[in-house]
Amino acid sequence: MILKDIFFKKFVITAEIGPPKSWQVESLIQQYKKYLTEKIDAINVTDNQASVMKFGSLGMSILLKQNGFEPIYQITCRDRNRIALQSDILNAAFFGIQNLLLLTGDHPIVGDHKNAKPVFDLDSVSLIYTVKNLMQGYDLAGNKLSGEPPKFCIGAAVAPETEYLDSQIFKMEKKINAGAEFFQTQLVFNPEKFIKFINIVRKNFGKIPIMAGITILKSVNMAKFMNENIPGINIPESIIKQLELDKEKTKSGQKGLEIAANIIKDIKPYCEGIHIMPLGWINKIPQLLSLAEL
Amino acid sequence: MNLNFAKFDLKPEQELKFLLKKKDDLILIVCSKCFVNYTSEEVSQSCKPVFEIFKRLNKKIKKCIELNFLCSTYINKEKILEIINKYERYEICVFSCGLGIQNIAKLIEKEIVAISNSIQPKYSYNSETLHHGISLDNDKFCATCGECFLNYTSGICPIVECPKSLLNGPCGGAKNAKCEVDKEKDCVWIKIYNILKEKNYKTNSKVLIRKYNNLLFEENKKLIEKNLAIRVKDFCGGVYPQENKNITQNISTEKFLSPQIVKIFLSQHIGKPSIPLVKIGDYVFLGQKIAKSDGFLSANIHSSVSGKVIDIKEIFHPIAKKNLPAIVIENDNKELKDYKIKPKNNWKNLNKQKILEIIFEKGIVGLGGAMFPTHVKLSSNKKIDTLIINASECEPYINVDNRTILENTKEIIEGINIIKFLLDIKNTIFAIEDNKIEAIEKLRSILPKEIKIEVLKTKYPQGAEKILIKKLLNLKIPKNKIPLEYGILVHNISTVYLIYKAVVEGIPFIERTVTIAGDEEIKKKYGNYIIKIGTPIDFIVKNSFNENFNLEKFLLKFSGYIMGVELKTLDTAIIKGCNSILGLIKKNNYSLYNKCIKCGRCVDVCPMELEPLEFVFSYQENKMDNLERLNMKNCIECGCCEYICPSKIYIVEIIKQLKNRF
Amino acid sequence: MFVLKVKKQEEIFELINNKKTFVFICEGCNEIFLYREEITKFLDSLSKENIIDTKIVDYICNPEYIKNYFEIFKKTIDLSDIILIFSCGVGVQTANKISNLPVYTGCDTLHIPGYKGVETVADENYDCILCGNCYLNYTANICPLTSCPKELLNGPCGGAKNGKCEIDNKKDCSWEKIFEKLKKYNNFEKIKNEILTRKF
Repeated sequence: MILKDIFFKKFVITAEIGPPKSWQVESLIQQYKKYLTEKIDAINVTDNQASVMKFGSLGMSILLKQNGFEPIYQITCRDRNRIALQSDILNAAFFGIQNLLLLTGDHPIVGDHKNAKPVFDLDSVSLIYTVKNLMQGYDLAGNKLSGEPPKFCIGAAVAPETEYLDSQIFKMEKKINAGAEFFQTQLVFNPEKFIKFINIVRKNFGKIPIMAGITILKSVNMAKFMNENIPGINIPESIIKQLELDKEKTKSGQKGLEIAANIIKDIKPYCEGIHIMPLGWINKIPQLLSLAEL
Repeated sequence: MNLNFAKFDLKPEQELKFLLKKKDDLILIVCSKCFVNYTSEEVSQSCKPVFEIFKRLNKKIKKCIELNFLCSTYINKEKILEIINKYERYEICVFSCGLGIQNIAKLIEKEIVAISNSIQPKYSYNSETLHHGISLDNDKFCATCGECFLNYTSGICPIVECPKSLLNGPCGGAKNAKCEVDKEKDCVWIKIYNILKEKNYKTNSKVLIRKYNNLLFEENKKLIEKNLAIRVKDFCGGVYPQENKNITQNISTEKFLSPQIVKIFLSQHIGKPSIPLVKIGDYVFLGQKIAKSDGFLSANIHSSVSGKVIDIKEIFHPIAKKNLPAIVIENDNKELKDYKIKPKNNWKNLNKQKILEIIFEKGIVGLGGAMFPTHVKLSSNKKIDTLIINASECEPYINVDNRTILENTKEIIEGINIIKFLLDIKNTIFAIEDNKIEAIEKLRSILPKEIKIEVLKTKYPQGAEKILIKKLLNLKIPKNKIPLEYGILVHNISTVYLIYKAVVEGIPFIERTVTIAGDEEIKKKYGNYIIKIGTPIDFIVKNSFNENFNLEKFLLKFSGYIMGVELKTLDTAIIKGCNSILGLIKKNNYSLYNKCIKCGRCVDVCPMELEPLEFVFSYQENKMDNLERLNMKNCIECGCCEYICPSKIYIVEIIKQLKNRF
Repeated sequence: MFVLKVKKQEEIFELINNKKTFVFICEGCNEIFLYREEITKFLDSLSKENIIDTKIVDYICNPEYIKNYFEIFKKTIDLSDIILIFSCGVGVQTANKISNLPVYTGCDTLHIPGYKGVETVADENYDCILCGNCYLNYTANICPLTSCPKELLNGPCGGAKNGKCEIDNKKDCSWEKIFEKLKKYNNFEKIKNEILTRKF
């Protein structure tokens, strides 16, 4: 299933998983089967997230596809040059992976191999452009691909709640011009800010599918940590207060689920889907969906 | 050395067309490139391609200015701003490497058009960035990786030379020992391996892995700040030569051997030569006046020995670099003193006029280097507010001021009092560099409170008058003005000591402290000596350097390591302004006609913000029309440019000759 | 501008390994910032028998000069087993070409941005890496290759937090700066319509 076929027909729900630092991943598939039910339209596979070396996103995407899931294959520009990126994308096409999320990627310095060479041969915009070219039957150097061109749905990322919205919108426009077909956002915590962002997007770019990023907050500390360290995230004081109010309820995840469900309810009329980043709490996803009445 | 290290090239015509759409009236700022041979041919060639393309594109160039080193704000800021203000509504095109473009972009609040691409040296095959401004050799580069592997790769850098930057051995792509990337190029790793074996290098069994992201931003910033601190601190430019002061730093001053004859030049100072008062055959006493001042800017000269005048003839003058008359006296070693040498127990009984007369009579000249007659400086009718005592002896090797402070502290204070009395000065600053720790301590313990001690960072030429004033009083003395006009008097510490000796002890300027030092190879006896004016150089050489010394292999520097002049003959003598005699291994061959490679280092180090390379160019190409614009008169002849010059050009000598032609 | 960092002492000890060593220290060139004191301290810590001679020279990156130095100091160089050089990478390579003895270096060469304009390096990463395809016309004359750690050409990465870079919270996000300037010049046309890629 290619995502662009279902946008605007239904409210799209995707979830994100991070492969482990291991090669034995079969047991995870069982877990996914249990919690990522048919309500989930597709599963996002992160590409060595936060520059920490892990099981690769291509392999995991293939494995998911073989097990009946619909993967969204994430690709970053940190580790591969344009040759490797394009050839990986061709691999993905063969295995039936049709949805891509193209990112620049974190710098190696934030990860666990600090001395690694940052490649960044291409960046997210030029990678989108490259995939677009592949879809038209040409590689980046302009050579023709033999046979049918591959078909993909190109996703890109945007941070709606950042303090520098202008430059985000600017880059978003470049991404759209380059060929991005849907956007997945950074975590949303302020529905009114998000709606403001959506309004700008509608005004400038019309009907482009936006999928809001959602997570389940686990604790006050986690919220504070994210506020301080993770770019583009801005958890309002009111949410932190809610978390502080009932420690037990927060610990069990009940509070986090309620908050997330409320956000989903608030923004649902404005976007085309949500993207759940469970950050380990994959087992809470069914609960979240029923709370949010999805 | 032949260099053409092109750093930028014009963008393709198509791109220029796109960039300059709807922009028809242009101002062109061109950087005249660095690391190229600086000749008139190169200069006339540099703008040609730009003009051709612009003509084809139908663009009008309202004004084209060509500047040296667009990346340096110091020398170009005013010129660029002037142009831009004048032609405000025009588009600005810049033809330079990325540094120049960014520098101009930063200066002005307007978008500029870069019409050039910066390019890597042709030698580079890989994506490693090579940095310019470091290499004089056309085929050796450094990628400044920060983790040098040369120790394990026999001194050949695989990061730069191997297209794959392989660290641990050849890749297997080599065919007939040629690289897979370029059939013309030898495989670097085969070369490395051969040399490793041949020269018996230490082999390393470790796996070598690059560490990227090694230098974090904060660390980097610290380094930048550290560098900025030394480069622009106190004054722009300047150099940090190896000090080598420790050779004679702790050696007490002693009297040098008395020579058999002395040769006393009639030109011991700036201004007119003195008029001899003795004739051949006369007997003179120690300290007897043998030549008198000729006019306002001149000074008396006294005999430094007792004996018979045996000749008055022309001898090679070390500073003037030509033959000048000198009085030759045969020393009878009796040291019979002139009757006029009488100590005055209390100078405070004398009036100002009388003291000035004594200073004039005893032939005191400034020892700061210029040898300016001291009485002229002291008889100014301008109101003087500040007296600066200059003890920032920034020249390497020399310890004259340092020893004088340590050994004659009381005398110096008395000398300062005399000057203060003469000109009614209230404010006194004692400027000393932070490398003379012992002297600073001594001064702190002895100097009266009203004299302020300013400890300066050691940097050459910290001791130059105008630089010192800018640092201490934050006052920039404009071109063609002297500090006296601003109520500031600067005196060298040794001059102050001489004033004391003349006024209190009645001793004329017949001897001075000189540091004799140099390299270990030719050492016989180094130290700080009180040497009689007129002592022949060959006598000093014979007693200070060993039998290895000869003028072919060694350099004899007269009065300073940087500012001093190179002596090519031993048949000359000590003059009043000579602070040192240095014997050094001759490492490089300097010449007036070595070719400038336009590295811009002389511009970097010039404390007066001049462009010394332009003087060299003018001299070598015989083009004098530029010199006025280049402010050559401002040059203080500190020698920083000559010290740093990688082409080893006698820049100071060139400037001196050019100054004479005007 | 370059900084020479003296290598770890153990590493140099291992290289010298009780061999007779002739030391060249290259000084003079103004681009190089040499930690002179560190070197002197290090040399003092070595045993006197190991160090045959120490000579301070300048511009050993010029093959003619280093040839000259080898001749001048031939007497002591002939007594040595190895040559240890404190200079930038170019100097060591040039010396190696001339020398018959193994040449070792005691330094790492680090580059710090900005070549000549002394103030130019004062506030931000400001440099030219000779990429061969100048992008300054698209980026408000601020080079993203030298000021952005990811060398992004098409816009900011989204990793900035409070206007600071993701790899270092002391460093300003250079794309925010570019963006600000573009706004000021009101010139988004060129960069909006171009997808920029590096041409290696």
